[in-house]
This record gives sequence, structure tokens and C-alpha cells, in this order.
Amino acid sequence: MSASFTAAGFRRGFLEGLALLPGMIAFGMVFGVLAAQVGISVLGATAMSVIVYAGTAQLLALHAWNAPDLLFAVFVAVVAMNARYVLFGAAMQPWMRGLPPWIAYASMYVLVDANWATAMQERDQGRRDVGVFVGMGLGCMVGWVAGTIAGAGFGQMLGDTRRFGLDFFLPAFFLSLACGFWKGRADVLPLVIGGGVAIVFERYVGGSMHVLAGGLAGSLTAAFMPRATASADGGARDGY
Amino acid sequence: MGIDPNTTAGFAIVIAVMTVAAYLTRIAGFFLMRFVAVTPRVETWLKALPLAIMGAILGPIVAHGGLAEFAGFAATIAVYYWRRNDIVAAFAGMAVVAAWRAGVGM
Repeated sequence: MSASFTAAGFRRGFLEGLALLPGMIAFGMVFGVLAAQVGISVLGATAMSVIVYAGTAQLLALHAWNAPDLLFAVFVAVVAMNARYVLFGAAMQPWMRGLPPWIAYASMYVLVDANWATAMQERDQGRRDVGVFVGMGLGCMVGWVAGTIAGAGFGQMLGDTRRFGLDFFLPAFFLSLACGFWKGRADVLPLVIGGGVAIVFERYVGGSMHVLAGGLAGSLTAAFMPRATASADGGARDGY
Repeated sequence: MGIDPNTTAGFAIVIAVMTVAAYLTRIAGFFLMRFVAVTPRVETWLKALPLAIMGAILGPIVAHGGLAEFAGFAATIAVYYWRRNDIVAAFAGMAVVAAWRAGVGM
């Protein structure tokens, strides 16, 4: 069975993306407030959120806003912060095999953390409807852009958003995703190695490469454990 | 490079550069995997990737976090296994952190 792209899947994904609305609005507001602080207009911030559509990378790019080599600085900021997407894309490719290349490459434009996690859950359940992934990417964009507009427009009135715990929504969301991916003792290794290497990288190397480093270390350790191949845990159910 | 992001043209160029950078990271791994055969070992690697990434995102946050974040994570896990819903769980964690910060007064 090869991958498909259905309208029903798109609709289901879009609704799943809308379900994240409160968190996405909160995250968008954080960006909008900070964008306004470096002098970006509401229209400019909105355009950036729609076109670039990379939350954490946009936040990091704001730090480079007054750098003398602005273009180089924002390029590095975005690549460094989005480096994890290289791994995300690698994991997506076998799942998407069979789709026409132009649909596949267009679909990857809306890759974000949440719809990638959903795509991986679909993969683990043996479903291969890429419409779910794209629909969810666009569904998430609704809240992200609405939050950007609200934050850039009148976010200054809110004061410190930390008070509402908004900065904690994404970490908590990632943790509940991890609970969903958790299947048993074999999962301890990638999680702990990934976390440990990321902590060391973040402390001693700095920058934002710790997600890439931890993700690679944790997953490769799992892959190179003796007898830990997919055939041993029924990997054939995926159909690729 | 004399780019002024406060002009419309300068801002458009900055957005274009950011968009290209973001799209490159989105398709790089996807493109490279076209040339990789999915052997059992590669499949095990890709299967382990989500949890390794989650660990790498959460590890430093846990390492830096205080009691509020610790309570928030505990609430998130508890509510996740109670309701089996990742969004509800994330909101529960956020509410606990907000309440804790308000209570401790930070």
C-alpha cells in the first residue's frame, strides 16, 4: 500500500490542528509581542508567520534583528533552530513514498512539530493518508497567525505572559506526545540518551543544535542495539 | 550587507531568506532519504526518532526547571494517562504551572 492524500484525511487533520488553537494562539502571541518590541508592524509579523511559518525559528531570528550582518544572522538562526526538521523529514519520507513528488514537496512546506508527531502516530498505526498531515499543518497555522496578530497588535497590555504559564504549553504538549509514543521498556533508551545528550550539548556547546544532537544520538543508539531491529517488534505492520 | 528591515523592501528580503532557510530544513532529510533503502535497521532508527527528539526537547527544560515546572510535568503525565488526550494534558500542565507561579509569587 502506498501513501495517499484524501479530502477526508485533510478535514480530519485540519480539525486536529484547530483543536490546538489555544496553545497555538498563546505561542503566536509570544512571537507577536516580541516582534512588536523590535519594531515589526502587525502586517509584517503576520506576513512572516504565514510565509515562514516556523515558530521557534522566528523567535530566534528576532534576536538577530539588529545584527550588522542581518541576512546571514537570520539564515543561521532559522537553520539552527529548524535543524530538527531535517530528522523529521527523514522519518517522513518512507511514510510518503508513492505520492507524486510535487505533492510531497508541497506538503513538506507546512511541516511543524505537531503535525509531524501526528504523522508518526498515523505511521505507527499503519495509516498513510498525507492529507491528515497537511490539513493539520494548515489547522495549526490558523491559531499561530491569529496569535501573532493579537500579540503584535495589543500584546503589550497583557504584561508578562509567563504569569499564565503560556511558555509551558509547548513543553507540556511535547511531554504528552512522548507519553503517546511510549510503548514499553525498549523506549527508555532513545528517550534517556536523547535527553542526556541534549542536556550536555545545551550546557557545553550552546546554540540550538541540542535537539538535533540528542535526537540523532538517542535514535541511533536504539538502531544499533543488538537484536533491536524492527522485525523483532513486529515492524511489518507498517507496510513499507 | 546594508539591509534595513524597517523598509518594506528590506523586510521582504529578510522574510524571503528566512523562508528559504526554513524550507531547506524541511526538505533536506526528506530529499536525502529518497536514496536510502529502508532496511530493518533504518526502520528501527526512524521508529526510535520521535521519542529521542521528545527527550532532546524536554531534557534541557527539565534540567533548568524549578518546582513549578516539575509539578507541571507531573500533572501533564497524570492527566494524559487519565484522559488519553494530549491537548487536555498540556493544558492541565500549563494550569498547574500558572497556579504554582501565582502561589509562590514569581
